[in-house]
Amino acid sequence: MQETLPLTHVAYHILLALARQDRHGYGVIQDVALSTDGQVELQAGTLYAALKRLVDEGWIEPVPTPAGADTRRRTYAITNRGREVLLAESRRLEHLVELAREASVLPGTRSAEA
Amino acid sequence: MRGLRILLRLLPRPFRRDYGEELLETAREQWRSQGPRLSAPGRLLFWPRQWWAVIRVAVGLRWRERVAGEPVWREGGMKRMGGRLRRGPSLAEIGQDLRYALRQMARAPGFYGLVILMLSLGIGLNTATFSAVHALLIRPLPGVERPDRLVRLFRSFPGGSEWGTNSIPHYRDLREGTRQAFVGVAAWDFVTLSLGSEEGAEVVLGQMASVDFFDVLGVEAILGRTFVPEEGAAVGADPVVVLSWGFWEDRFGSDPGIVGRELRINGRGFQVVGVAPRGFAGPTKLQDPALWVPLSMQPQLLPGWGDVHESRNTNFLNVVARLRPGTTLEAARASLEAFMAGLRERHPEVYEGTGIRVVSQDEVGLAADYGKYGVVLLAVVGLLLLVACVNVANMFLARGEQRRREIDIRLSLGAGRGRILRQLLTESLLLTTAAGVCAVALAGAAVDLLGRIPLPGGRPLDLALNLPVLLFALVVALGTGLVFGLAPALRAVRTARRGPMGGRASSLGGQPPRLSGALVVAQTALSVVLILSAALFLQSLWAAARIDPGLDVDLIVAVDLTPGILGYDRASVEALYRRLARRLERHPDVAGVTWADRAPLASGQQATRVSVPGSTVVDEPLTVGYTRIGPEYFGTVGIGLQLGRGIGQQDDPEASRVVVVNTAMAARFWPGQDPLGQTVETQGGKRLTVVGVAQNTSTLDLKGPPQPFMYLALAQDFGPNATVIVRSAGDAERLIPLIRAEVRALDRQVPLRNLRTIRSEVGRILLPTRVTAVALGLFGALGLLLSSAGLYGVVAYTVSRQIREIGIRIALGADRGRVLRSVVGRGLRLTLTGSALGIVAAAAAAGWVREMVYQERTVDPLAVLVVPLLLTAVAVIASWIPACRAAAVDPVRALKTE
Repeated sequence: MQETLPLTHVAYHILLALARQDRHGYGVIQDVALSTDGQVELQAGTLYAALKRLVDEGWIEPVPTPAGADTRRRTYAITNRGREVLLAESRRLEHLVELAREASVLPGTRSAEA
Repeated sequence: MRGLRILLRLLPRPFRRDYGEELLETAREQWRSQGPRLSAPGRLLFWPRQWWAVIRVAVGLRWRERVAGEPVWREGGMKRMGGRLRRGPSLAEIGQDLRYALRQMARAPGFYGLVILMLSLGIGLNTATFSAVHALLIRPLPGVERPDRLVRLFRSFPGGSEWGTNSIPHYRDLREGTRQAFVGVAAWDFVTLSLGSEEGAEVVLGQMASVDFFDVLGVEAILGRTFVPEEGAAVGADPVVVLSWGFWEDRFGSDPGIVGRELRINGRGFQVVGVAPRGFAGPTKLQDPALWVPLSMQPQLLPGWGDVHESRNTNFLNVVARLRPGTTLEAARASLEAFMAGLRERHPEVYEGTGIRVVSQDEVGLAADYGKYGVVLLAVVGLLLLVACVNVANMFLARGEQRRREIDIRLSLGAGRGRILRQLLTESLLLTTAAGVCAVALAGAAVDLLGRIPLPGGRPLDLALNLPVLLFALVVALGTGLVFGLAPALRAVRTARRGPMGGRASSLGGQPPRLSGALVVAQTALSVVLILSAALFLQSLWAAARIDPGLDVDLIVAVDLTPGILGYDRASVEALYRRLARRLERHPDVAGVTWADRAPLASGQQATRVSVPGSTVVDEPLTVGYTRIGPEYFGTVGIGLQLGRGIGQQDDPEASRVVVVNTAMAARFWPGQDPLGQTVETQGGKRLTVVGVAQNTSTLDLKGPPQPFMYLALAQDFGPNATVIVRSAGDAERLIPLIRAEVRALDRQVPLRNLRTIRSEVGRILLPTRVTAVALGLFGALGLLLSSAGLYGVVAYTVSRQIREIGIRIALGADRGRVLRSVVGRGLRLTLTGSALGIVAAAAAAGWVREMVYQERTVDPLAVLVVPLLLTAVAVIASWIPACRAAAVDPVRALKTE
């Protein structure tokens, strides 16, 4: 697991978006934009490059569509492996934030000063 | 939207197959949903942003994945593929990159300064040279409409000579008889005119032109009008004149009321009817006529000739014609053959044995004679650019290895490859921009300098910095800078190891990279060709300067007098010359005076067909050049007389007609016989008796074997205008003010032109060679300098990288001398290979330029030996010094060196 971290921001955001619910391409873009307050604006090209990678790694998968449905609007879902990776990365980020708090870079600590 | 679909093709096929349509659909949806909410600039940028993302993804998927050698989503990977965390690279990042690049450059100012210098020299010189060559040789006639459809018509004579001369009746027939091939035929000739004003007469150079001259060339007046057809009808009836733009500006201050004014030309009133557009200077490039007058005014413009409108044997006009649309040159030639056949039938005595030659306008003039010089200059300066680029490439390669370590460190500290690459790119861009700026400045200065050089015609060159060439040279050189600036860095980034503190660029991999070796070979070869070419032309110049023209060049001064313009009759002309000679001969500085219809070595030549009645040797008439001379000619000019006598006072119109031939003609016409007393017959049936044989003089361009030549008596074949030739007892220059004063004293109104020493004529003839030699000398010297510096740098650097290996080998007991020899040996091998290639190439090129040089042998054994020897010596020294230093170092220390 360790050798796949750290994840890039885009990968992280996509996994996060799919963790809440299955989405199709544009849906992911919308969700990421919403949750980052417009900071991360994915373009279609970027998105699909990332999606391809995530699919290849087995962290997300396209939801099987009923026969005859429009393949231009596929929906993607996070896999179990994907959830594991997401969890590991989130923990890593949490740890970093903790370090920052201890160094008084960020305000507040877990354990209150006596 | 369609743009996006097209750009999808950049993506790898599997990706396109799996996600392509989906991608498009998502983008569409994005547009539909977000589009309306965007501001105007946002809407404009929407699709370009999509395109850019696809491009970056394509690049990332296809290429950088290979470079990185690992899954693209690692740290830095996804960011490179365009997912933006900020609007990045932010301005701050760019600023950082710039500052970093500047710091790098400041740390090694010598290196970067040298690179900038080399690139700007190469680019600047190329641009300047090409601009000059373009302006002189390549640029089509200014101001003329569709010059590619213009052709020149020459008459050809047996004996192989061709003269751009046609007579007026011949021209008239041409105009009428070739309507099928040409939409218009015009004739013209330069004519020296006397322009009268209150201050006195001034001599101007004009052109006498047929009435359709401006129509054929497609030129319209910017003020007033050009000639109208009626102005060609009656001889002498239409004294009108069209001014050139330059003359109108200089002489009349661009007076808008100039149309209608009267000018006194050759003593007669001519009315100004129009002004030609700016830039139009007639059908030739070097000499700019001040004005144009109709051909029908010929008797007034060339008074000494009389009216030659019906004289089919007076050939002096140049003919230019415009091809009918759809007619090819070949078709025109064919129809002209038929036309000539008709003429031969009607006037056999004039046209027997002659023909007509049709040549595209581009092929005549300067380009025809000097085109090869231009090509040589361009080739050599192009070589210089190549040498500079190769140098720069080598330098960057060498330096790339140095930067590796720094890149390794940065990578292991976690810097993204993308960021590093971007910084290196910034550095390269900065460097090439600086080089580009310097290059443009240098080119501009060089062009400005060149533009000030006065040409033989008197006018300075109208040079402009040639944009296409500047861009081309910039692209080439800066492209080199970019490629070679980035390539080694890219290689370093790609292969750097990420172990603790990065890997060490181990110099145990002591074999110097093959690319570097190839570049050394290329550099040497190019330099050898460059320098040998330069040497070739320098030798040509030296050889030319040593040519003996066959006359006393340093002692003679000549001046062209045209009393004919003033209407002097024969008696007064002869009296003028005699009085002038008497006055001049009184001066102690003057050792002799004579006159002739032109000066020795003057440009242009007159010739006639000569036959020897009853000769078995010469069965058809040959064209022989001639000049008409006065008494004392040979003694004054310094041409030796081998047999018989020269032309003297006794050869007047009453006496039988005589001729003096030169040795070449005597050998050609009467081999093994005594030429004295023999008879020759010229075109037109005149018979002349040979009274003397003179020594050969040089041909017109000082090259090639002497041609047959004749001297006729001016008194027996009169023309009012002559060149007075004065021999000096000492310094020829001192005669110049003297002659001017004496002519003025005799008759203030007689126009005096071209007072010069013959030595300066020779200078004029040699001008192209001189210019080429100087330029090439400069380029050659630069090339040698650049090559030596580059060679030294690269070889020294390569060897110094092998310090470790050398140390080890010596520590292991290898013979110090042997190690040194092997290191030096490599440098030797490379330069010798390069030299061999260069010599072969230079020899091949030399064959091509053979007719441009004055010396016999184009391959000079001395140069061929010295130049490679020099370069090899540089390489040897460059390998020797660091190798020695390496060998002298304590092996243990060498091992520790890193």
